Amino acid sequence: MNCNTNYDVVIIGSGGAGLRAAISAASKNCKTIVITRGKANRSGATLLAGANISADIGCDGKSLYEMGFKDANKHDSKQKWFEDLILEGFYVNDQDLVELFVEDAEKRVRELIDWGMKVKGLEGDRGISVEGSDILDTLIKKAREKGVEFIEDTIVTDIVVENNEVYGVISLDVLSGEISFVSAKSVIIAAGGMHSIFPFTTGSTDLYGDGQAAALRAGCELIDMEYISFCPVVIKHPEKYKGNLVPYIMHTIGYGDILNKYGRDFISTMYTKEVANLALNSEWNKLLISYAIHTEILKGKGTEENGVYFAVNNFPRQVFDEMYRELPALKKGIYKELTTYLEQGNGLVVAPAAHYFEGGIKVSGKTMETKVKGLFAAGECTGGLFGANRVSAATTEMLIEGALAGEKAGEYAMQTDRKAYIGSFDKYIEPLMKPFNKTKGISPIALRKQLQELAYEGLWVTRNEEGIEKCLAGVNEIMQYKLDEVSFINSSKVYNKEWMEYIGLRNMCMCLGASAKAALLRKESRGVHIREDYIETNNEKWLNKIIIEDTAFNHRFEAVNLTKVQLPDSKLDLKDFIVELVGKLS
Amino acid sequence: MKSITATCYRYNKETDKEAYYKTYDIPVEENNSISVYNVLEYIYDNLDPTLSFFSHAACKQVACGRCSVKVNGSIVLACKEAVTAENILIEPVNEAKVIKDLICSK
Repeated sequence: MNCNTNYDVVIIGSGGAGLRAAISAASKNCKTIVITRGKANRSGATLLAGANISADIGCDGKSLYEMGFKDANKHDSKQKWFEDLILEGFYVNDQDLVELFVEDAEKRVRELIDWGMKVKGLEGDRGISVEGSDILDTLIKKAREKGVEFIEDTIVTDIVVENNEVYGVISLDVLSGEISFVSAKSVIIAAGGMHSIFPFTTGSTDLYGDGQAAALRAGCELIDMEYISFCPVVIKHPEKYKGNLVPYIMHTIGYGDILNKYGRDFISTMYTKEVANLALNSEWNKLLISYAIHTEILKGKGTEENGVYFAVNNFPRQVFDEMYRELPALKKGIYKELTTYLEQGNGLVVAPAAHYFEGGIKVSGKTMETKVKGLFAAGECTGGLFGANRVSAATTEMLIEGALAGEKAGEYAMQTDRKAYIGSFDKYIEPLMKPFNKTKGISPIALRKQLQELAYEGLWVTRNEEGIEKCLAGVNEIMQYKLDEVSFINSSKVYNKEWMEYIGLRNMCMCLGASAKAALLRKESRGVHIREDYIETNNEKWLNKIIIEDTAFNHRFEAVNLTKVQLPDSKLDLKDFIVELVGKLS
Repeated sequence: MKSITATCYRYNKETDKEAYYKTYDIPVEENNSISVYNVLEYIYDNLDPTLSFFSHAACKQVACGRCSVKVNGSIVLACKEAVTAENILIEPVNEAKVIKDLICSK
């Protein structure tokens, strides 16, 4: 095992949160390094935000107006945005984090523009439209100027902690198979979502919940794990484009129709007029259309691939021209292949795909620090900001949380006086190497398929007690018995996919187990957590947070952290409650 | 259902004296359209878990640009390249830099 140089701050992940954190930490004169699974500015979820043609970064209208966007709503305010975020989150957001979000969004947008990011225009009432890759390129350029170092193609497998204090991370270079200890005074987890627990997602292949799982093993807690957002209109077939959400973008702008296997609309007939209007013409479409499509498929009215059709009517022909004028990227590359396919009158088979994780590592909304001293987290891997439903932009989340985490982790590194790590590394290394010592056992590929099947049965768009219980029992069985029995056919340590899969499995089990536990406990429907057996949003009983405390998934309930907005005490059907919430939006 | 035959370059420096080629049959539904990346995924998932190809941080949507391989002699992105012929030859982009199978050093 290698023991690399000592760093002040180690950051796990190189999406928007990790890169922005690195800039803050390096600005405090800290020796800073980013360790990332992929290529520093071409991996993670940021890259695919808005299918890399139209991502949005959120900001209040008044601030946008003051920045020179003359079409922005100058009568908007941070206070109004704050209140709307709480409504969108079904009242269970961490209000400290929401405060940080609305206060700092303006600064984060201004600096990105100063640093050279290209803005295509306004998007919605509170946002600007950009390209995911441009956010990353802008941030990495700044980080390099500040002297940030990078280690790429490397998985962080664990965070080294003793006496509740952080000492660094264990990492695996996937190209060489070498394991290292990277020493650091403080560590920031910014490793993104846990998409891989599901068989169908919008994410890239590096989102395994590595951060959430390592945090739980290190002694941190997870929060809001029951809330998982689905993107409703994601390509499922043809296989080549699977996971691409460009039809969702087209549909959100107003193009195309979602049709069942009979070629019929079902969204406007399933809901009342009021809710259907929200589904088809508002930012609430992620939740409502996912629910509608999923329900239609369960009724047996989906295609043979378990999806529905997305089609753009070719009459009048000008509709396509208008669409290309609005989204020029649709005439290039694979998007050209897709639009040609649509122009020929074909429907793309689409379905809801796992998209964003509201839950994650529990942090302080004032410092982004976890329960472990010197261990911070930022971005999608954290939980609490958006409560039960994210409507606003996750790009803003990563920027505001990353900036604060970097600043606080930098300050911590500069003042800590703890000694070097002298403990053993065995407990970190042995579990990683175990399958190499076995000649016969369970294939990690089979186990991954089994785990994803459990996630699909238990935690997909709508849930029920039986499915969640089966999922949790299955995860526990894999963790207790099957992981220990994994063996590899490939004995090489160099780019061994079975090995990576096994390391991913350890983390997926942790994340899926925590989510299933929380979903089982919450016996109501709230936001994206839709229980078929408890369809009411019950504010009398369930206005609280579920915290997963440890790797055995012990839990406790916590009151919602209140600062400004008071909580309701109604008990209503989820759809009726949504109408009530929307009625209160500014 | 039709079948595609993929011939893959294989080399493990720890055990192989020299590189060799291995052939795999991949079933494809008539109405489906698949990429070279899908072919490699199918081989790993169902036929041969020892095959190494870029997959640990792949976008699969022609955005990261890291899944390059040589297909029938031309360098392409595996996720972008549609498989239409019955036979394809998949090789690393630079044989001199091979670490394992289709993975090259930077």
